[in-house]
This record gives sequence, C-alpha cells and structure tokens, in this order.
Amino acid sequence: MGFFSTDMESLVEEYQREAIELMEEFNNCLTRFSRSGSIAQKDINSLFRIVHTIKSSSAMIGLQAMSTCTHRMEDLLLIFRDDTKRIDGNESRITDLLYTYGDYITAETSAMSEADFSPSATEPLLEAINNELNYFAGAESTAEHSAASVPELPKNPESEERDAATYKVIFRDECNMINVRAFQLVKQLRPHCTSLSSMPADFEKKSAAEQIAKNGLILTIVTEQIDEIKKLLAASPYIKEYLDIDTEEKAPSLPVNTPVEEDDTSGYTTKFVTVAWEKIQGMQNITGDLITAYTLLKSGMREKNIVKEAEDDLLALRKFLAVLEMLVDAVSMAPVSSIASPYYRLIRDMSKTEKKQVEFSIFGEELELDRNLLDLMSSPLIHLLRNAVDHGIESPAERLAAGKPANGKVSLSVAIFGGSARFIVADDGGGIDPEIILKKAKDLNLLVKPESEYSQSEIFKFIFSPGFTTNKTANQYSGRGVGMDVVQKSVDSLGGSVDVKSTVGVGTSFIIEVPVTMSSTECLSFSVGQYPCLVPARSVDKVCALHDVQDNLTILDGGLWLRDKTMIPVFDLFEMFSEPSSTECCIIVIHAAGQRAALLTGVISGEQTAVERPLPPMLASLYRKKFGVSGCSIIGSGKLALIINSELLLQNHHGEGTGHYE
Amino acid sequence: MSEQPTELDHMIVTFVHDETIYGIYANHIMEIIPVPKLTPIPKIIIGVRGLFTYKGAITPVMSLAQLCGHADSDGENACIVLQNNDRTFVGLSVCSVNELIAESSQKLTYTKSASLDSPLVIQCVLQYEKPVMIIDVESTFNSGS
Repeated sequence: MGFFSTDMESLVEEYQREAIELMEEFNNCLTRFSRSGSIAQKDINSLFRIVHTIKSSSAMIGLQAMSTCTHRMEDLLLIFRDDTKRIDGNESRITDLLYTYGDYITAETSAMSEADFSPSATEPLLEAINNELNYFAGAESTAEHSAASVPELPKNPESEERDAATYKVIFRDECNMINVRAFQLVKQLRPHCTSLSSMPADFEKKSAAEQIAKNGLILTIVTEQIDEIKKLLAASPYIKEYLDIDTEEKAPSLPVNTPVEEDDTSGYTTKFVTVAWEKIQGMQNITGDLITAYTLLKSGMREKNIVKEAEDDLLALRKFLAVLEMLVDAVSMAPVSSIASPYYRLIRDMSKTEKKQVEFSIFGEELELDRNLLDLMSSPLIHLLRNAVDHGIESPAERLAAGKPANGKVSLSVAIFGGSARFIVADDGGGIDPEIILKKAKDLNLLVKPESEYSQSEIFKFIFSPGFTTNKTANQYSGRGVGMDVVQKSVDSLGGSVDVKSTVGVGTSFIIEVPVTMSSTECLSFSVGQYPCLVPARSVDKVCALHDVQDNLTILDGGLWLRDKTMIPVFDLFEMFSEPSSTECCIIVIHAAGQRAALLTGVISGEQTAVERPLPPMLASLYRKKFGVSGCSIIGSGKLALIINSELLLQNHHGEGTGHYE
Repeated sequence: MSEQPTELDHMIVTFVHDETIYGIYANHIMEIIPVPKLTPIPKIIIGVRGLFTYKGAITPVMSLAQLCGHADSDGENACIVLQNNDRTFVGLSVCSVNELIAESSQKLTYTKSASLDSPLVIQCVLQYEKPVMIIDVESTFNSGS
C-alpha cells in the first residue's frame, strides 16, 4: 500500500485539484511581486490565505511535515501581512524563498499521484524559513542566515488561533442532500469571514456529497468573528459535530433528536466551477457538429426547395446556435497572461544563475486563445525563452564592450493573424552566426547540397535537427542539443510552422505560427476543378464573372493583374492547384491587412456557414504556406472544402509583386 | 510509464500490391474500413489520395497504388487501413487485406535506396519464404513531399 490509503483517494484528488489552483494564484502573486519590485497588501493577504489553506489541507491528508513547514511559512507571511514595509530591502531573498516553497508544494502535489509516493524531506526548506523568521524576529542572525538552532518564536498576538481556523464539519447521518447543506453552510458563514475555503470546493460535483459524508466538510476560515462562526456552526440543525483541527477540540453538538428541517431548496449556484478540459473540448466539438448539421440540413432543404416553409424555424435555430457557439468560445478561451507566470519566473531565475541582466516583456498578454493551445505552446515557448537568455543575451561586460546597454531584452509577443496565432520570442543578444551553423551541419553530415547553395533561412533550419548544438559545454539549462527539435515537433503537431530570423550582434527572433480554432464563419463556396473551396465572406470585396472584367486584366512580368481602381495581383487558383482552366470562371476580389488581391476561381455556388476544422498536422503547414489554406469544413453531401484564408494567401505571397503564383 | 508489450506488437496485417506483400504492425492499426467518399486535395505530397472525416477528425488517406507509381482502382475488397499516430489518424488505401500473421524472426537486410518500393517501406521480414515489406504510413509525409 502507498502512503495514502485507498479510502483517501478522493480526498487526495480533491487536495491536488485545490493545491494546483492555489499554487497558480500563488505564482501569479509572486510574478506581480518580482515584476513591480514591491508587494501589494492584497497579494500578501492572498499568499497568507493560500498558505493557510495548504497548511490545513496537508494536515488533513496526513502530510505532517508539509503542514509544519507551511505553518512556519504562514508565520513569516504574517509578519509581512502586518507590515509590508518589513519586506523592503529583502525582496529578492524573500521572493526566492517563496518560489522555493511554491516549487516544493507543486512537486509534492504532482508526486502524490504516483503509487510509490513518499513525502520529501522538508528540513532544508524549513531551515531556510526559520532563518528568515529569526532574521525578522530580530534574533541573532548573520547576513548569510547561518543554520543556527531555531528558537520558538513569540506568538503573534494575531495568531491563527484567533483569526484563522480549520474545522472538520460532520453532518448528521439523516441529513439529505448533504452537498446542498454544505453549500448553504458556506454561504451562511462567508459574510463573517475574511476568507473561507472548503474541501471539497465544488459542491456540484457528484462525488462531493459522498466525500463530505465520508471525510466531513473541511472549512479553512480566516475571520475576526470566530465566536460568531462557532455560534453558527453550533446552531445548524444539520451538523452532528465539528472539530477544530488546529486544537483538535471537539465542539458540542446539538441533541440528536433535534428535528432536521427538510426543505427542498436544491437549486443553488456558485460563481466559479472547475470543469475538466475534456468536457469543454467535447462541448466545442458538439457545437461545431451542430452547426455543420444545421448547414447540411439547410443545404438539403434548399435542394428540395423547401427552405421557405421553414425559414423562421431555421433562423431561430441559427440564432440559438450562434449564442451556444459564443458561450462555448467564452469558456474555452483564456488570456495569454494566464500562462505568463512561469515565463517571468524562468527569466528571473536564469538571469540570476547566468549572472545576466535581462528585461523581459510579454506583448499581447490580454489576448485570449484556446486554453489547450496555450498549454501545448507552453513547452516550446519555455525552451525558446531559455535559449534566448542562455545563448542569446550576452554577459553585461560583453554587451557594454559591444556598445549595447548592460541590460539585455527578451520578449514574447503574441498576436492573432489570419486564422493563426503568432508567437515571437525575440532577444537583442549576439544573434546566430550562419557560418558556425553551416560548419556544424557539415560536421554532422547534414548537408544535402553544396554549401554555397544554402540560403540563410535554410541554414537556420539546421538548428532544429535532433542533437544539433554548437555549444561545447552543457549547463543546467541547455547545450546538449536536445530541445530545438522538440520545439519543431511540438509546432508540427499543432499544424504550425517555425521560422528564425537572426543578425549577428543584433539579436534573434523565433516566429511560430499555429492555427487557432475559429468559430463558424460565413463563406462563399466555389470549386476549382475537382476541389471544393470556401473563402470567408468577411474578406470578400466583390465577386464578378471573368468575362465582365476581361478587359481589365493584364499580364505583366508573366503574372496576371486586374485593374480595379489600382492594379491588384490575381491568384489563378486553377494554376495553383494544377487544374485545367474552366470556361466559366469568376473573379473574387479579397482584402486582408490593408492589401487587395483577386482570386480566379470556378463559378460561385453559394454561401455557407463553415465550421473550420484543422487540416491533419502532417499537411497543415504545407497547405498554409503554399495555398493559404487554413483548414477545411464539411459541406453538403459530407464532402470537405478547403478554406482559403485571404490573410495567409496575401502574407505568403506578399512582395512577389507579380500576381503570379510560383 | 512505459507501455506493456501486447500480443499485437508481434502481429502483422498483410496485403498484396503488384505481387509484392506489404505489412503493417497490427498494434498501429485502429480499424480497417471500406473506402469512404474521399475529398481530393491539390497534390503537394506524393501518394495523398484525399481526405475524409473519421470520428470527427479530418483524416488524410495515402494510396499504396499511387506510392508504387500506379493508378487507384478500388475493387470489391478495397479498403482503408487506419493508423493512429499519436492521436492523429492516417489512412492507407489498399486493394485488399490479406491476412494477420505472427511476426517472423527472420529479418532481411533492407537497403532503402536500393529498393524499387515506395518510401513507405521501413523494414523487411521473411514470412513463409516470401519477403514482407513492413511499411509505416506516416513516414511518407516526411519523405514523400
């Protein structure tokens, strides 16, 4: 048997879920702290509340060492909570300690899932916390915080016994709807608390009632009205008893024969609930399928000429679907800032270890992207940021010698462009020398053509080869040639692409583009020979038959141009797709990012609501680059149509200036 | 946690094309289905026959015939062998599925560059004195473009 008994499984799971959420908030507080250089009272209060909750929860599941260690951290935070100024001058050391504590909790929480879990030693961390407590308590302490024996600290007058407490509440056996009672109790207590958290936290979960019945309801309360809390707990007709976990003192329970009032208030709401990502994905998929089914239904009805009879119903259905889609989009998106904390932390830690001065910024933090995409991008971005500090940014001395400011700059920019998300990791470091890369590639037998025939862009691609590194020595961050190929693989698996731009002495940018899940889009449908295609209506300026504009077409430099106010390039889709030209063609004038162009297509067959689905990863990048195809959509009769994205098409062929596809 | 080897790890599904026996390790196969209605796509990658939706995912289908330089001819027994590569489905259209056999321990030396076969072939085993060309569908996406 492992550390936890099998009957504790649900309790441990609940603990893990709660700890992950709390540590996310913990890290966000620390990010704000390390970015601004000073700590806000609000953040100290949050840190204190989080640590207090973890203390109680870890004690509840038998992690005594973690609870003790956390208790000391709580003592330390109490000092700053009472007077944030006491942290002044010690910011860096305290932030380091808090990060170390956060890492410890995160690692333990994650390890709990393993069958052979056994709690890690806490002594070094406990010692570090105790040293800080000594320091702030005014005890003899050196600047290095020697590992002296830790005296018992004087109790803070506002100790947690008075204003923070953890109770285990046991409900009566005959109490029905136990999770509803628990929810009502929390609601009743909350106005009297500075903060209140409970385990389980989500009363709507099926397992909540079972868990409360088995393990009781754990309430972690910070309050100045502890007597009122006790009074309310004692007065509840549903509570059999409650136990103060900190003092292990049992509170008196009401007589057993106290009638339990039965009401039927089963309806309740909570402001936030945690939902498994798979469920959200399921909702996204089913919403897409519903819209596709609607489109197919309408198309089938149109073929039978019965659309008019059901026009109002179809319109109503479309409206409901639009609302559903909007709601699903809202729950599946998260701001980039929600994943930013580890990046700030990484740069901060690396700057210290590598003795480099790095200013880090994130642009586009407010942008919202699919949560799944953000998760999947996290690993490649961390790798690129790590490389930027490790290989890109020079030491302050080297930078000064090169006439640069001592502080290097690393940035992550996020933007949404043409149905894809663009992530740029840039640094103003030493840049990548293509000659060194080419020489290394030659040594590794990676060249497949004469050296002189390689363009700079092709040379930079070598850094994504497995095992490729120009570093002679490895350090804790990089240099073993593992990673850039993983970045490439991660991006490939998302159907995206990665590009490198670098200038020696100036800096390097890694540009990653990955397709984003788009909502349904109104499109024009047409065919190019045997290939059904769609173009989003939002980017269409006008449509006309080829013969109507024949006189305005000109061939210049081997490319086709259309005179439409100005000269705009024409993308001959027949030529692009290697299809024979048709006698009946259309010209679709499109626009994107301030540019205009025309598409030479087959006859327009109508309009269609398209739910964009990504192309398979092995095809996506090629089709985006070559044809500006961002994805595809199911159309009538179950066929698939390629969605031609104007922004991608114009971006990929920008600067060709001939209007001729090559 | 490493995956435990299964019985299927050592089984091969074989099919014949142009008198050559080809095989795919059975543990890679999700399902074998009749040829669905495929949507053609402009050719960039050699042997891509088209796309269809399988369990909601857009799934590409490679053609063994095209990869061997022949035209597709879907006979009565034509089918799609569906592989699941890290949650991405890839199909291979074949004339028919031959049999499910246990992997032979006799592996032949196989030199890719010397082979007249498609870039699909990753290995060759000797089965009842006949060579079976073991293929990996996904590898063609990297080598066949």
